[in-house]
Amino acid sequence: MNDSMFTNRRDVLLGTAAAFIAAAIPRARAATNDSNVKIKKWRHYADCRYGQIHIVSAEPADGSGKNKTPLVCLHQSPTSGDYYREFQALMAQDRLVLCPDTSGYGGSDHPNALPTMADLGGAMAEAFVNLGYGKNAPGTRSLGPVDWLGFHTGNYLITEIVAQRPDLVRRLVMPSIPYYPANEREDKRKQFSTPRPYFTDPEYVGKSFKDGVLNAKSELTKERLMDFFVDRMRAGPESWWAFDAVFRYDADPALAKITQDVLLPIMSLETLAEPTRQAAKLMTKAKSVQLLDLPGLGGVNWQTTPDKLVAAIKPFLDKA
Amino acid sequence: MADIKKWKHYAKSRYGQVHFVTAKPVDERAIKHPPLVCFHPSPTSGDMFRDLQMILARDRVVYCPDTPGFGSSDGPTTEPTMADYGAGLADALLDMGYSATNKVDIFGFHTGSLCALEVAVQHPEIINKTVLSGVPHYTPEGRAEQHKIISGGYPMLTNPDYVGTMYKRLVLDGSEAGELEQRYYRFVNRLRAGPKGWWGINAVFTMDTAAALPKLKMPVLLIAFNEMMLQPTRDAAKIIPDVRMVELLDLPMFGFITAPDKVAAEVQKFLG
Repeated sequence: MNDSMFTNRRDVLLGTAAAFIAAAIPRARAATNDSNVKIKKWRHYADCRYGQIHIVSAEPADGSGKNKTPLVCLHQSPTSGDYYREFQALMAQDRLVLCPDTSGYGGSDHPNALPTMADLGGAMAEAFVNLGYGKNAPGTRSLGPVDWLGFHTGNYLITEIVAQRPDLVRRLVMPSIPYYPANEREDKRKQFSTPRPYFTDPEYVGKSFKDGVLNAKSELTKERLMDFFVDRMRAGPESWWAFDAVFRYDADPALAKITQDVLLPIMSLETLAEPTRQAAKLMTKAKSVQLLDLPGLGGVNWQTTPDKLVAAIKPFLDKA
Repeated sequence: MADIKKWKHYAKSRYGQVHFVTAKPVDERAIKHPPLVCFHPSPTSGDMFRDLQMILARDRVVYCPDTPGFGSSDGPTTEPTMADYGAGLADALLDMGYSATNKVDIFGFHTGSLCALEVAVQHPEIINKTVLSGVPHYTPEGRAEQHKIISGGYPMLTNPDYVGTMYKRLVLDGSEAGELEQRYYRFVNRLRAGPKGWWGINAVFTMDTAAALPKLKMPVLLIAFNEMMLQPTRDAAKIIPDVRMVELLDLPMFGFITAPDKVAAEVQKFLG
């Protein structure tokens, strides 16, 4: 199936699916951003194997976003879809942008046992099938595939969605892939996936709050840092589970299964810049792999200069 | 135990979206009574009622919303009154289709009792029966005194020891109701409400309950636990037209957490 065939089919489907979307995804009030485009933003849920996935969605309030493929943004751990709040507000000026919370984070239900990346990716895929995307969606006709953006953990949810439900996937944007060779992963797992001593160290939460919010050297406001702190706390005693899944993940064959167009923004201030370059070499079956150097950018730029990331990503998503 | 289905969703209000945790019997033929809506104390969320909800949801739909500005609900951007909170919650119930021909029962504890009071006074047509527990009914002088104690807000971002101290007190020292995990998530919801989380209690102690309580036109049950609102609840009973009172004095402040079966039994006896 080529892009032009799919576009025609999608246009027809979107017209008939509009009522379905209206029923399934309740609308909230419009928000504004720095541009003149009014954005409609709302929160909703979709079913998955663990219960529900929580999603923050945004699109142009005048309905003009329906002609572009939706973009789904998958967050790093232990945050939530709210990580992309500033980026979403800009990106949603001309398309639907969905920012779900990975199972066990934000408002999404927790897995009932330590999950693998296949479990987390599978749950996310289920949520989007239940929203009507991909083939064989329950109920009415499918809304088709979406574009996917990941960051850190989010990138491995993407590789699992590609492997399990390629019908959900059009294009991929994968900055900061946590790729390490197999012989390095166990050390990383021990370093990052340790339970936080919430109940054993009485000073832990207070100290973490001071370090992460009150005394943090950051360009972000204390209020925004507090949002991130709250998201860490919401993940609870199991906040380490996604890290465990990342560093147990056999990423090599997963990366080799990608057959779509891929954009790899290389954010120079990210420790995962070089791992992303290494991961690119394994995407041997991808239709295309484009590395895009973004000097001077790091994770905090999703919040501080989202316009730069939007400018870097949009041409790739919108190319013919 | 009957199979209960539990899920989360949103409804629209003047402040944006109101978040609900809702439960009902998997077999809907087991539903025998109107839905019950439970309004929580500040600064928590509908999750406060999780144990009570699972018992009461055996034969009815039980909604546990997050008051605007708490939990996952959008909130007012300026300091609200209790009438504002009640209006926001009523908006959500109306958005969900409740009406004069499709009523609900309501239950509220502490701040939630005044949210319930406002919903019942503003929209009596959608309310079947009302259960209020731990009602903060004070004289104007008593209100002013309480307001002086709580005003100043939650200094999460200005007092470096506030969050750590609150965590130890509310979660670790074990004196608060509920299991460790419940206490932990209750603390998280307090954090989520942020420095403005005190707006709920502020609205409590600026509400003229003496004017509102006599306006309750439907049957009302008051449940009192052995806690600071015992006498205020007794005082409230004196001015509600159609009221009965149950005192569960062997239960502490969050009696619906420490003994949900006992509280549920009283609620069920009254509501049917």
